[in-house]
Amino acid sequence: MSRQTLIVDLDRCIGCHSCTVACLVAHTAPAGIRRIVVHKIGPFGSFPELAMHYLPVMCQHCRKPPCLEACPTGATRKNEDGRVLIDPDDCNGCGDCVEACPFGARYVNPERLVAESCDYCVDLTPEGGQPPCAATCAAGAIRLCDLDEPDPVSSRWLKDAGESRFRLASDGGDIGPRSVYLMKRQPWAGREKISAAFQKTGE
Amino acid sequence: MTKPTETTSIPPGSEKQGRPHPGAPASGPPPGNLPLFMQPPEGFVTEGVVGGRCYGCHTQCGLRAHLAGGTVVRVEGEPFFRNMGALCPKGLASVAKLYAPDRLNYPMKRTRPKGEKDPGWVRISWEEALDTIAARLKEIQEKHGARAIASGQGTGRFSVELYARLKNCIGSPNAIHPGHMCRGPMAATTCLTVGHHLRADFDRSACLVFWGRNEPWAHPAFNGPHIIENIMERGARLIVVDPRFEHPLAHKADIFLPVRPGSDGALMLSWIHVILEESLYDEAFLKNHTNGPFLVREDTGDLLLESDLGPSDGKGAFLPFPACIEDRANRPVCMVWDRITQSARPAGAEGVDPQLFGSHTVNGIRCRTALELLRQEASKYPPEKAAEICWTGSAEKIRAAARMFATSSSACLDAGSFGIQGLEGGHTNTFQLLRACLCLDAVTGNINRPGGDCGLPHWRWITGGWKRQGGPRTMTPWGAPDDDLSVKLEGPHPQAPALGEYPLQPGLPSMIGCFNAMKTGKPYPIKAYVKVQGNPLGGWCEDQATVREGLLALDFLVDMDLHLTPTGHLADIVLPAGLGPFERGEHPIIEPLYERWSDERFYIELGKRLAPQWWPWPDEAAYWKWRKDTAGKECGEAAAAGFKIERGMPAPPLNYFEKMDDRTGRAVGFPTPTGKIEIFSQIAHAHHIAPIACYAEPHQSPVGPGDLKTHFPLVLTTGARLPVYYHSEHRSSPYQRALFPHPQFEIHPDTAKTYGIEPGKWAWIETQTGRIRMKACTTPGILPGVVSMAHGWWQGCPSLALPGYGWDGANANLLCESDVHDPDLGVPGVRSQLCRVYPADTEPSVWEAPFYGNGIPEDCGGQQWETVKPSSEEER
Repeated sequence: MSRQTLIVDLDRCIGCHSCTVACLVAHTAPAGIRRIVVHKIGPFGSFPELAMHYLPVMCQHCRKPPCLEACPTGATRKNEDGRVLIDPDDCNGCGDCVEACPFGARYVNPERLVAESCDYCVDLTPEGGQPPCAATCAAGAIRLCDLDEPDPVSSRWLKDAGESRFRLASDGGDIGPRSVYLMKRQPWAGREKISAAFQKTGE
Repeated sequence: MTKPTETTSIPPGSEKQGRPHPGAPASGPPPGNLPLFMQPPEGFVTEGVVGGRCYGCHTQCGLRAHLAGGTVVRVEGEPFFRNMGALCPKGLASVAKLYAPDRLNYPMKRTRPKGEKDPGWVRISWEEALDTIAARLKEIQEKHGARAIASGQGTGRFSVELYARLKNCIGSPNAIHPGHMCRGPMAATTCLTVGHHLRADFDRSACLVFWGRNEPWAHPAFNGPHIIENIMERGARLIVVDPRFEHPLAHKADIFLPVRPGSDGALMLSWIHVILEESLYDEAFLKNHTNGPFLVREDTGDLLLESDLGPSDGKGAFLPFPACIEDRANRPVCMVWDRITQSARPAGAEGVDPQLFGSHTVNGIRCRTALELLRQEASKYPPEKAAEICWTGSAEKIRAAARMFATSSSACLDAGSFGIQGLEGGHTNTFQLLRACLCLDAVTGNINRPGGDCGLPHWRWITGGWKRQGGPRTMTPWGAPDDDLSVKLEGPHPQAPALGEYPLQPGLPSMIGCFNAMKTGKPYPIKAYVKVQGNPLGGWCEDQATVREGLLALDFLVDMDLHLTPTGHLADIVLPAGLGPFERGEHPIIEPLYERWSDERFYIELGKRLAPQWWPWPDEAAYWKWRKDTAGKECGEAAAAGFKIERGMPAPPLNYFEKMDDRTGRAVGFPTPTGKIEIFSQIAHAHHIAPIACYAEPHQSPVGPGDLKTHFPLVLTTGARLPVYYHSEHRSSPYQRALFPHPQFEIHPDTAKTYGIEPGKWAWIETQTGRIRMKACTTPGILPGVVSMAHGWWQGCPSLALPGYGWDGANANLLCESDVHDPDLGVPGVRSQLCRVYPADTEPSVWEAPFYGNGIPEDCGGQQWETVKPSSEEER
């Protein structure tokens, strides 16, 4: 059993959008759509006592995925390693899952007319390596890691972060988004406000 | 406070390694850990992975291109180069640009008069283009002289030597390019003060300062990994001094210090004030390696020389440039105040312990030390006053920042701006601002110290004008003159001065002066301009109206570029450029598509028609071989002299200035007139320019004299960086444009409210020079009263149906005045001007002369980039 997930260290992220573009190029995706969107959260507060950070959001491979519930054809499935994947043969491109996703992580590819989202690029990632978004990240902020068997660097990251581990919060109850966000270094007032976008991980 | 005096290169292995970058493949390194681009295949391959160096910006990261069926399908970062597997959007999306349908593919000539909307482009052969260009240039040279012909570039990737060679081989002193607002000012000031270029040691510094400098967005992959690694893994402290909290490091910083654009010099002097008052300076460094303790005469303002006090051995005064630097044996002896004997004694004499501060009377001559003069200048800006002048708000924060900078074991300001972008390029008080910056480095001993601002001592005096004045030549790290590498590469430098050059920037013409000369014929006519990859109209030059009139008045304009720019639209002949590293460079990855040529091939073929003796290479391959032999030899010598290579980049031998000179029996010191880092700049003094760093308000100032500020109450800073664009490039690439789709200016919500500006709506930004429209981005992350914007919005993106705004729609340079420049270096005030803002009822005019390529996209076999509107128009 493996639990693949992306760890994103928000203390590192510099908002350069390299992950977004690497992903688009790797998937020769039509322009104008994105599998990873780098949001800017903030700045909150009043100048110069402010807080902000960048937040790359991709498919969260939720424990209870709303997209899966919304899918009328059964094209959206959860596979044995917990990833939420789309079978393009079964997808009719209706877009219900796009509506259902609280994180805006899905889109309907206007060329292929099927829904698509981040699948951790398992096919494009060399054995023991990192997917294109992580490999290209200028800040080294993204890592693909198996939570059940984390590599040494990821374990150190998770350990060092301590309490400062977060998952995305959604209005639709506890759907169990999977990406782990780390954020320790926020010296400015307003951290509480920033953290409102997250829920503490229970792990 | 004295730091350890150890200034040698840190021994191998002592650099604490962070975690391996995720880009490093798990399967193990290739032989010798060499970047793939150092192992080029024989000829062109159609499948597999080929290495190259990115041309997305200036820094040239390593990249790997994946080929399938002869087509580049994707690129990724090179793990065994400085970028450590990272690559930024500019490089990643270059594969889309390679096959983009809006590229120029064939040479064309105009058939209708300039100024008409449709130039009537007609495709011609390269042969015809080259013959026409050569014939017209010869004709103009005969009629008006060589100086009527200018050559130039934009950011010069990477044929800089050849545009210089082209003008040099026909004897013209005029090169038109953005050097006056880019690296030129920094290069000149650093060379005057330290004797060579400096670059920040981001990788090792214990305290990183980003002062008006958005390095993580300017060069994300090249320096970003090292900056973040240093902060996160080695705990480097971080200070961001910027008007924008939106700076991508501001929220991570230990101290974020706001500053009003253009007042930076006052804030630097305030830091110096705190450091000197609280005795946080590096005493040993100041005594041994700067001319800070040298005595300066109060009556004449000159340095006190031994010969002033009695007969000496003929070393009476400073020699003229460049002998004052090169002829170390005949340097005049300067005097210091010896603490032990309480008398004036020659600097560097046995047993002298120089006093750093104070006034002293020597033989009836009142003198003060150079540092005392700097101290007095800095004392005009105590933190309380600087906080007010610079809109910093908190004096305590200024003190805290100065203390953090001075007490860290090493700190870098990137005073030499090796990576180019920074403070230098846009204030009318740039020279003294940069001098203050370098003095800040000097008083804390952060020059040529690991983790400080470090130099490449054989990279000296890059501007041709200094060479024209007789030198100085490239020197070995020991300071011995060597053959001049740049003369070998660039050809003979003309003896005539460039048009309207400034005193400390000889060889660089006044750029706006050149466009004026095109327009008016004064002081002499410029009739032809051969430009390769650069776009003065819409891209880089101040006072765009004059630029346009100048280009229109030219007899002959040649424009070689990737796309048809507003400048190209006024050209007589446009030429299609190849995109590196795919279609050009020493080892192109694929054969150039259509009839695109490399810059080098064009220059060589044109040069042969003009002055064949200076272009001896039968073809481009021969040129590259010669280039490698010539420059490679120099690098080899540098390596033998102690340069070591770190991740593919040369690291400087930090302690070269302590080596003994056999001829004088003293340390070689720094290649400056006094042999020291110059707190008192002898060269500036010889040019009757203030030799001690000082501060004056920028020409357009909200607190200066005059009533401009009542009409234009806001401070405008242009040239903000966006991580997906490089100056005016890449707007047509859908992957990049989708991320930053609209020209925007940032403004504080309170300021916006005062002037009726609504977020996301178009608004006018107006200066006394011109007005443009951009969309308002209101954010609390900018200093109230300041407006910040990026430049270069000329180009449309057809596949996203987003318009370009040409030269007159949303062009930040329309706002920049050309009447007043920095008097010493000729820098325009593009980063500190005054403006006003008000709502606009209509959108800016869209460029009505777009040209979306003259190729047939289906032919090129590449990926087709579909026309898709963004799913949601997302504001930044």
